Amino acid sequence: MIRISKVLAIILILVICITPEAIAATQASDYLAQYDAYIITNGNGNISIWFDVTATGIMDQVGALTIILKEYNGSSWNTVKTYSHTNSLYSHILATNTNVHADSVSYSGISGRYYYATVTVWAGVDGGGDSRSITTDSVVG
Amino acid sequence: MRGVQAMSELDDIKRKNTEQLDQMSTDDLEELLKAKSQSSENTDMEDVFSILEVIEKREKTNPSGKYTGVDAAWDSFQKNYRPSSKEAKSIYDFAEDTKDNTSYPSDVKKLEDINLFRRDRRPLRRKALLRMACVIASVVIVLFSSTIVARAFGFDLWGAVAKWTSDTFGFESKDTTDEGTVTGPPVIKYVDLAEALYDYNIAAELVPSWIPNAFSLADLKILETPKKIVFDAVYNNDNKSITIHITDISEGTNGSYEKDEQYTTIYEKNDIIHYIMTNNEQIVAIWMNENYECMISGNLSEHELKKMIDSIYER
Repeated sequence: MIRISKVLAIILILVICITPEAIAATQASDYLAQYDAYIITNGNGNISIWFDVTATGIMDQVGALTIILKEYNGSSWNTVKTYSHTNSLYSHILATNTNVHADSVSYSGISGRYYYATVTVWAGVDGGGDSRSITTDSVVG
Repeated sequence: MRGVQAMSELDDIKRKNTEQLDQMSTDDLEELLKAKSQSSENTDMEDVFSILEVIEKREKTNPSGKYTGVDAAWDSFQKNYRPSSKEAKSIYDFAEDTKDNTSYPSDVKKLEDINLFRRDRRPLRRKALLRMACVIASVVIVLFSSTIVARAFGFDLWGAVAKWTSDTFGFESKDTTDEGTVTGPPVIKYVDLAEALYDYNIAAELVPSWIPNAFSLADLKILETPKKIVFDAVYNNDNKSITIHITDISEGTNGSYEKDEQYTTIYEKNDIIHYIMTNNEQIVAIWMNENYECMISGNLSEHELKKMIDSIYER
């Protein structure tokens, strides 16, 4: 009986770990209200990562801090690109003085390979803020 | 041995006048020159020229026949000493030469003695090559590590290229076309949320007609992305906010909403289930109507929130 309970507990833990998106809302934040991220393929290996973030009010900063793109090369997942708001090229992913922001970055990948991204969203005001990491589904480039 | 003696004699020569060179035999002067050329110490060129002048003077007055003119010397060099341009070998490279039975000029055969020293030099060359390889490997490792660290911090080290004009110097990041960014979605501004939905041909009842009196519209944005259109209105009252967030998810993507550990309650109105929860200081209502995911979030009482929801369907 105890053994069955242990097995069920392990299965439950695995299910929770494997399907994080099943839990739509699990945390509270004074800064973040809603967020989402997804990845789309534009053909020929070209992909785009989109996100949107809604804060609980107008904030100093709303958007994404980083977007990490992973590629599956047939044997392992590797980071192929990191987009950071600190890089002047991608500073647009973090907006200022707003309560909502949606944006995207694009990547020219290899056709036929799998890609997914982890987007770290952020909302902050007066020196405080919250961040969350969202992992997109994978797509074939 | 004779050369060593000659070297010491050369040192003496520095202290004596050049007349003493005239007293030395031509063979001794030649040995002196050879010793000087093979010396690891810095050669005093004045001594060399003094010796050469004495030999030249003697050759002019009494030619020995050993010095056969410039043209003959050049021909001899081309024939016997000049390294093959095709093989790109040094004239002192005897590694392959010693394996065959090729006959060499007498002077070259004398130089074979140098091979005795080459055996000692080879490990030194290997060590030098090994040392150079280590230096190159270290540089590569440092550059590779720097790139990884820079990339970890989101900085494209190799993308940063120097921009140097006549009056300025700076670093500028290179924008590569294969990793180019897509600019954000067009932000469309309206002054009324209902009007915006009307313009997008959205007939569903989604917008409250009532909000608490003290709140006024602070910002209204419509964000179009490939899989969703977001209509977002924020109303402010001092430090309090109300957000009405409507998302067209026809293409199928759902957002995540923040909530705390308090229970979620259900408020049904107009046959639509509205899920009411709290997110710290704010109360939140989330519901679906057709293809639209809707949220009202703000510093409101539950009564005010339900009144806002009721106003959506009271037209």
